[in-house]
Amino acid sequence: MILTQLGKYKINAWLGGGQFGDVYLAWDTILEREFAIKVARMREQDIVMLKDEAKLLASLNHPNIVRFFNIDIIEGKLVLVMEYIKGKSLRDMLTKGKLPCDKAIHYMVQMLDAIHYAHTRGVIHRDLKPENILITSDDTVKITDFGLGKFVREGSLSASIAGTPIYMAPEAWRGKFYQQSDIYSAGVIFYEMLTGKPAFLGDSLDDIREKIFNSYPPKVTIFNPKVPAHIDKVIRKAIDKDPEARFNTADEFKSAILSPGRKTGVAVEVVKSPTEVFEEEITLTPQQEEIINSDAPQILVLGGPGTGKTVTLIYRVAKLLREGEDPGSFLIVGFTRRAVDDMRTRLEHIIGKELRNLVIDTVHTLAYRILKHDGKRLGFKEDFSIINAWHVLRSIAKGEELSRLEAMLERIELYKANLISPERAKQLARSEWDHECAEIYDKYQRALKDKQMMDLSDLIYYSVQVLREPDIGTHYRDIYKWVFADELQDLTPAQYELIKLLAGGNIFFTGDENQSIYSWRGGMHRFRQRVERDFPQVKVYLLTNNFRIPKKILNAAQTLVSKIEGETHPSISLRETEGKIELQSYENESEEAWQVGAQIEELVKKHGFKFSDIAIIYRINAISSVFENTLSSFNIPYMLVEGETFYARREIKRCIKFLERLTTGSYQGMVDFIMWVLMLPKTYKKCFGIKNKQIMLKGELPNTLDKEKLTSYLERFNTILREPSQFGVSEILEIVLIDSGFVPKLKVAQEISDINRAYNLEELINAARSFGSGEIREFLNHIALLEELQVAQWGKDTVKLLTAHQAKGLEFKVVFLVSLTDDIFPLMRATLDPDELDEERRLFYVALTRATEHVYLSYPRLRYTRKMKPSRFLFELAGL
Amino acid sequence: MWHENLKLGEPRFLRNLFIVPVIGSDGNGTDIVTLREAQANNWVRISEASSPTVPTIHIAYDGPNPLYLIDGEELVGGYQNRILNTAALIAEHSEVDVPVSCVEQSRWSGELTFAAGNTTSYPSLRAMLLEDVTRSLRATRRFDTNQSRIWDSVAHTLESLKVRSRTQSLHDAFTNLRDLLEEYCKEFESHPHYVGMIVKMGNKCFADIFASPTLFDKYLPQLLESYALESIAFAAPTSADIDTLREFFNTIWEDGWETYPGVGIAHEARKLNDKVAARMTLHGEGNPIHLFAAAR
Repeated sequence: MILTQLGKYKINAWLGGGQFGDVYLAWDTILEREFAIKVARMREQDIVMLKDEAKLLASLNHPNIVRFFNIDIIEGKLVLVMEYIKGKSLRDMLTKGKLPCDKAIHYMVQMLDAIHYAHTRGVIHRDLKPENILITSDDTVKITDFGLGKFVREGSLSASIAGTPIYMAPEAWRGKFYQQSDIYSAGVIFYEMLTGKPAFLGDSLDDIREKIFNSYPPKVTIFNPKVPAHIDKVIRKAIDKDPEARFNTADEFKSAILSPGRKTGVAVEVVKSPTEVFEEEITLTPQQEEIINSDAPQILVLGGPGTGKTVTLIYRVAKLLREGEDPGSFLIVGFTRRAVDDMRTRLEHIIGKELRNLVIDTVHTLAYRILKHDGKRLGFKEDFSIINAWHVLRSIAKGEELSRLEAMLERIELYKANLISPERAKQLARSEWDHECAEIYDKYQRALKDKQMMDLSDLIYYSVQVLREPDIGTHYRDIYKWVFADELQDLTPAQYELIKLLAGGNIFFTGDENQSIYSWRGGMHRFRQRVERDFPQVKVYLLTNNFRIPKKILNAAQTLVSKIEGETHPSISLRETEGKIELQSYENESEEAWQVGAQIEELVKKHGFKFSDIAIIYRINAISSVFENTLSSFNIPYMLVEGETFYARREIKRCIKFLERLTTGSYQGMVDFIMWVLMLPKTYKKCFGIKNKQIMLKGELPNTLDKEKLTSYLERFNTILREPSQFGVSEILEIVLIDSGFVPKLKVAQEISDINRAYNLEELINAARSFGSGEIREFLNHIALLEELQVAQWGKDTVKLLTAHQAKGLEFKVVFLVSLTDDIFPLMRATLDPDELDEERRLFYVALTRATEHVYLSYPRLRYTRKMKPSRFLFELAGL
Repeated sequence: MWHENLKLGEPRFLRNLFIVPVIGSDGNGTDIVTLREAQANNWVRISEASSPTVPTIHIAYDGPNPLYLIDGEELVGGYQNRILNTAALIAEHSEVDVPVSCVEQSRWSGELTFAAGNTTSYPSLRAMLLEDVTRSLRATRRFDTNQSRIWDSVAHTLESLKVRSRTQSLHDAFTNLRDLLEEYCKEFESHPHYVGMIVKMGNKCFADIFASPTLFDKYLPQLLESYALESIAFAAPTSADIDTLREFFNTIWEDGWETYPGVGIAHEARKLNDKVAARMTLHGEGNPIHLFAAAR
């Protein structure tokens, strides 16, 4: 302990400390100036040694090294007198998370300059860590405690946060220090600056030591995609376990950071299908060959997941095209944009050229095109708007509680999915709730029609009505001689009816009734009966060879669905590997998440899996947070697949609203919008006004605003307001989102959510570029149909966290199916209704069959203090 | 009044703790037994309540003198580790149910009995308990706390210390930092007349004052460690601001105390206003045993 007066120094504050000693702000009462004094915890023999070293340390004179002025012994304590630096430590900055990349590099360059300088004078720091790196208010780095590391007590390790030596090189743990040991420490610090996470963390000192000696941390670019790609290699070299493999000098390290490296450009990957299997890799089975070459004009292919239904469909199309059939006479319908894009890519690869005339689309896009052309038959103009149902419903049903509105919207969507008109809904109404919903439905549909608007369900609903007009239906049936539809079980009756009305003769449908998981939104569970009734000559084929799912997993999955009443079509695995399916129970959710994290760590480190090979699948979104926290603490990069559609994202909605205002000439909210893109605080709102449909600056502007820059930007913004039709949509969005600096700033923000916002906005701009020239209204309708632009980061090497519904159509080598208790999966309410329970069973089946190698099933025995029952499906899997 | 016999000693720094020792003379409580002593002599059995429940544990004590457990004192074991919501003074050869809070969120299984952790919660957590219990006593005459806030505080502390704990246990922080805490604490230079200390870390002020130097000496190691833990987790520059500490000390003794029955044979005087939260544990005819206070 030290008193507040130490010799001539009056101690005014504690500034920092470590194993060597504590640093205080002290007033020299004789020189009348401030110093930082370090009161050392040293043994007497070290004091003697330090005196010898003192001259060398005092000779270090570099702008990035804290000056060392004097060494003294006062009241039996060793006191080092140093330059007082006003600023923060790097440790303080890192408590707030990672640094922007350019800042981190700026600090690293200075650090490495200082280290290089000291090394050339024979001084090794030995104790580099964020606590010893100070940053002044003008972003100058000052490294402190150079050379003092050797005086840390023998046998003890340099302690950083929590007393753990996580910045020390492996050789330093053994007591050996080289210049490359400082380079290692600098590399580890650089990693943490860029990711916000220590490179090595563990449960115990032994655990940390094991990691430092035997493993490397995940790549920086996983946590921070904006970091130039070459930085990963630079850091990897700097922290090599072998000192001789590292950079020879700090200067070399610095040059490697500053070299141009590979530009990453916009770090958004185009959505690609997770499966990329092309002709040369596929061997069709005799079953598939039979179907592809069949003469039957109407074909229904049934088969479980992984049996090659979509491949069969694609090859059937390819065969017909090669035989000379007109591509314009084909209509191929997929359930999602991802599926549709995947089919097109594969077909074009097989055929060997682009197939522009071939219509491959989602059912919504198809319906939109039909209504643009023929919607006038129902009183719709060609430029009708596709809107978000929720907003319109809220304005109609003002005062209703949100939960009731949600339930009403669900009911309205079900009506439309089953082609029930408002009048029919009123006739069918029995309870008071039914009547209320039918009334709101009627008002809602009238309101939309009056405003020339449709929601997504209306696209299908109205296109069916239009196609039922004999002339219109005939027209389309004459065009589409070959109609293909994949995954029929996911279609609603309305969507199926649409496809049926378009089918002019030949049909080719695929599906699996055991994967029907959308009856809650109208999905057709028993589609086979419907198809056989509507197409009496249809030939039904079964695909029973399973290419994807290994035997053990397939057998378990099939045992589960055998409990569902009705026909099931077992398949046989063609995989050589048996696969693995394991079941574990854990004390509670935290323990479950912990063990999953530990298993993932082991799978990646010891068994050669990548993070992107692994998924954690659960029944409801609420389960994800405990896994997110645990994966973070394991430093495992992950991506949470979010439920909301692109269209519903807040930043996209704001831009959409802005574009809509441009089409209507309404300026309400324009000031708020421009303040949002300029990232100005609300208090600045009084600086803006609207006059003659232009945004003006008014009054006294705060000094923090660059008036010239702002005025210049406003001029460009106002030209858009004056004449929006002079600009393409992508140009408008570029001016608003990029020229304002909004997206560039978000990309280098601290928060992952801000970075994701930047990606989303870039996707919106990309969508506008792809859309090409065309009016704003057209574009708004176009993107309303693009529901899957949010997977921009799908390709990154991250573990995926997603619900069972979201997992449909995807595959992973390893799946952790978690939280399998009898009130979560199946949901509690489903246990009360046999049909709902069957749907939950099918959903479980879908989740299980996402794995191509291993499945880990688990459940917690306690949810907090409440005992939980394992899911009944676990018993059913085992045939019990 | 108690404080009239107390003096403030010379301030000093113990790393980033700015400490003003409180000097007093031998008073009450020289015969009080600590939990560590009781356990060493097999005088105490601490267990889950007969129907185990988070907010209550049961203490059966068979020692010759009253047993004092400090507020925030940690009990390790049971179905999950707990801390005392308030101080408890347990009469010799008696049993009592004691209100506690959980500091190990992800465990609810194990043995029924507890051992002394020989650790005490860090002062900010004790201050949180102090405020919560005072409000609860005012409203319902119960020693209830806000369990979610306690868990959040523990999680935040573990994260700041970069301690990975499978069950989110506060005790893991003490275990992992054992060496560092011992180093910290052995620098403290005690004195035979010290009965307590007022501590400033960053811009927070706390006071722990005991009735006698003997009692202070007994609790000093675990209290110092608790202060050290918080200062390591949330190290902030600390100024040598003796005036603030004097003002805080004076504020503690101002009027505004409310009295309540305590746990066991203790009773309590509490204060909660916009300047200070404080609790005095008293015995018999209002004889003070221990005071804990936190500036607000």
